[in-house]
Parts: sequence; structure tokens; C-alpha cells
Amino acid sequence: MLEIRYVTRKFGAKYGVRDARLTIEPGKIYALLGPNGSGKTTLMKMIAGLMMPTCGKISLDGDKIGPKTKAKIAYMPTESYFYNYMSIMDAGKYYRDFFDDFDMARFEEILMRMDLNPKDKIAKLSSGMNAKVRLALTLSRNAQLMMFDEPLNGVDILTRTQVINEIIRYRAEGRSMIISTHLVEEMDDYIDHVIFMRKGEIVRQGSREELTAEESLTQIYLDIFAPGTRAVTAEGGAADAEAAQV
Amino acid sequence: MLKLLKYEFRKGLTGLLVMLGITAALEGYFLYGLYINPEDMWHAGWAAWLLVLMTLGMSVFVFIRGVVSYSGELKSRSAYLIFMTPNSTLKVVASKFVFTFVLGVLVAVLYGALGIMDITLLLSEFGELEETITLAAEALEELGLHVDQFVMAVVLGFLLVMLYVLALCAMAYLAVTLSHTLCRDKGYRWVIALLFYWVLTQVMGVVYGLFASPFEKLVFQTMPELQGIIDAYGIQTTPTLGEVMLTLVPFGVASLGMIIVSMFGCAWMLDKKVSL
Repeated sequence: MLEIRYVTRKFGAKYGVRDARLTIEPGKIYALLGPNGSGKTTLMKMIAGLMMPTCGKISLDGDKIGPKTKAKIAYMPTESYFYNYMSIMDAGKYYRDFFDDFDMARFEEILMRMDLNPKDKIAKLSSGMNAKVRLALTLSRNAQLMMFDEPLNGVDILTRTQVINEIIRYRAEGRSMIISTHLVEEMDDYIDHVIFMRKGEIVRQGSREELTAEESLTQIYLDIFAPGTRAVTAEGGAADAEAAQV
Repeated sequence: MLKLLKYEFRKGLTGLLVMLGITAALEGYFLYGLYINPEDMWHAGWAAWLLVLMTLGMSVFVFIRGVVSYSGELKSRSAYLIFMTPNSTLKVVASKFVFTFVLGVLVAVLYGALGIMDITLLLSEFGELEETITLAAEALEELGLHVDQFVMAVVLGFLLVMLYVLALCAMAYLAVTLSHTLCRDKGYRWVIALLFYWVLTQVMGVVYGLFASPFEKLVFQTMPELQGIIDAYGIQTTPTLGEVMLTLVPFGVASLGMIIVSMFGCAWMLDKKVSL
């Protein structure tokens, strides 16, 4: 279980994350929702051990974030992070060398499904293809906690479905997943728990069932980030197309 | 650690191959001048001179590459690749440093061997090798130094210089980490790093100043004809080469201490302060 207790991260005078309190339970999929700059990436980086909180504590199964927790957490950053010389297979071998839970057979299988050539240089791939490689690497780990930072960014509509399907395919008992996004509708059907972040703070959270009992996630999103606007509906009623683009 | 070293090597491979390629070309030019066109010594002479420059360039390249690559990594996304793995930051920083050290030793051995080979070839081509060595040994004996002692002193001196250079390199890592800690995305980060580096080298200079200069003692000890100067300036000399070597120990320890402090300092700052 991941515990986040009163975590704050400051950048100079600004707050990247402020006083975050959160518990991530095993076996559930969490959606971290919020517009750009709301602190989603900062929070994920702190969980992944790439950034230290200014204050507060993050622990996984009682262990403070460090080498031990890094072995249990698979993180898919939102941007490309590979060395220039790397081909897709080089990246796979890199993960195999450093992560005991990396499954090379699964990696090759995902590459094949996603129509990726292992020999291709990552530096020459489009942003969508690059996202697929990052996703394949993350999903090929049998990690206790998987985090995906904006996995749908730069990905076309057809590929989005493929990316979501792949993530859901590797949902497993005891494995938690955190998916950050600002594309609310795409993830709506698959998530168990929703966390809304605004300006570094967790402003609302709860189970999807609980939250969507009376209104859709998109509407809750709009209520929080663009109060007074209504979500676009299929019927066109009370629609505000502009607001839905937020 | 070995896996980290493997990827450090892979990252630096292209630059290394380029430098080795240039060296191979220069060596080829030297051999051409020596065997194919021996009438015109201009070629071999130029090649030898360029090889000496290349050796110096390669020494600088190894250490500059290490520091620049570390600095670049701290501000690029590729840092995720290393720092998200289950390795402690100390291990990560140490691996980068050890790689630079190993590369430095390999380069020293390679260029040393190349130098010895080229000098041997020159001597065998233009003079009696054995006679030259005997003459050199006799000259050393006249200075009161046996060949084995001389070789030992050279090896020890080399190790000491190596440790000193590594300490300089470790301090450069520390200066870079400090500058990233204090002004991560600022354009003047390099100026701050250089300033820190200057301060650290001054501190190191003060520490070294606490010990007597071993090379001074070594030179005067092995040149008895300079006794007049020794007496006139009241320079203290040690009676044996063994004791001279003992005076080198504090320098080695100080360099080693500086390396360890720098490594732990880097790891601590990366753990607590630096955002990737």
C-alpha cells in the first residue's frame, strides 16, 4: 500500500504539490485528473523517487521511497527519456538488466501487438510511437505499482483505445495503477478511484461509483476547473462545447 | 555496479571510438614516416608530435567527458533511465566516477604502451637500443639512483598524479551537483559551477600545502651535486628513496579523502535536493 502523508513540494516560492494526503490501495486503478500544471507529474515523480518532497512522507509497504521501492514501482514518464543510441530492443535490454521483474517475452509480445519494430531507433520515432514504447516497457514489468503519466498525450484517437486496452490487459490482483490524464472521458469506464488536483492540491477524491452517482466525471471535472459550464452531451442539451475543451 | 558501468561505457562509446580512430590514423602516419618514407623524417616527426598532443587531448577528453556527461544528464530526461532504477544515488554517482577512472587508466596504459612502442621503433631504426638503455641507466647511477628505484619512483609518481587528477575530477562532479542544487534551470549555472570548482581547488591546495613537497625532496635527494643549494636554503631532504615515498602517502590520502567526500556530497545532494 502506498501512503502519502502531508507531502509538499515547493519550487522556489511556488507550490508544485501542497499538503497531499493519499492512500493507494492494492488492486485498484486510480485516475489522477487535473489540467496542465496541477501537480500530477510532480506527485508521480516523487512517488517514483525522481524528486524529493520538500516536506511530508511517502512510503510503499512501510518503506520510504528509495532503491527498495523503486524495484516495486514502474513509472512511465510523459516525455521520452532514452539515450540517443537506443533502439527499442536496447531499451528492453536496459530494463531487463536493471529490473528483476521485467518480462522480456511480454515486452516482445506487446511490441508485436502495437506494431513496433524492435530494431527501430527510438530517437527517430513519432511521439505516438514513442509513447507506445514507454508504455510497453512499463507494462512489461511485474511491478506492484504502475504509474502512467499522461499515457494518451500525443496519441491519435485509434491508438488511444489501443493504449487503454493494453493498460487494462495488465490489470492484476494486488497491482495498483495510477493514470494521470486530462482526457477524462477516455478513462471513465476503467477506473476505480478518482483524484482531482488543482494548483498542487488534491481538491476532491473518491471512488468512481460514489462520485458518478449523480453526475458524470466530465461534469465534476468542469465543476472543479471551470465552474458554471456544462459538459457536452450526445443529445446536445445544455452543451457548452468550449467548456468541454478545458 | 557492473551494469551501470556497462551503460556508462555504451554512452561514451561513440566519442571514444572517434578519438581512438584519430589516434590510429596518427600512428599509421608515424609508421609511414618511419618505414615507408624514412628519407624524409618530417613525416615521422610531425606524427610523433601530433601523437603527443593527442595523448594530452585524450587525457583531457576522458575527464572533461565524464564531467560534461554527468552535468548534461542531470538536466536531461535521460536521467530518469538511471535514477528510476533500484540503485542508490551513491552507486550511480560512483559508477560514473569509476568509469572515468577506469577509462583514464586504460587511456594511460594504451598511450603509454604506444609511446614505448614508438620510441623503441625509433631507437631500433636509428640507433642501438641496448646501448641507449645502458647509457640512460649509467646516467641515472651517476645521479645516485638505481634503475629499479627510478622505475618505482615513476610508478608511484604516476599513481599520485592519477589520484590528484581524480580528486580534481571528483571536485568537478561536486561543483556541478552544487550548481544544479542551487540554480537548476538558470543559464549562469556553469559560472556558478566554475566558481565552486575554483573554491574547492583552493581548499585542496591549502590541504596539500600542509605537507612538504615530495617531488622537491625526490629531486634533491637524487642529485647530490645540489647539496650546496640544499644547505643554502635550508631545504630538508630525506635520506632514502623509501622515505621520500613515505612523504607521498599524505598526498595520496588527501586526494582519496577528497574523492570520497565529493562522492558522498554528490549522492547526498542528489537524494535531498536535486529534482530530475
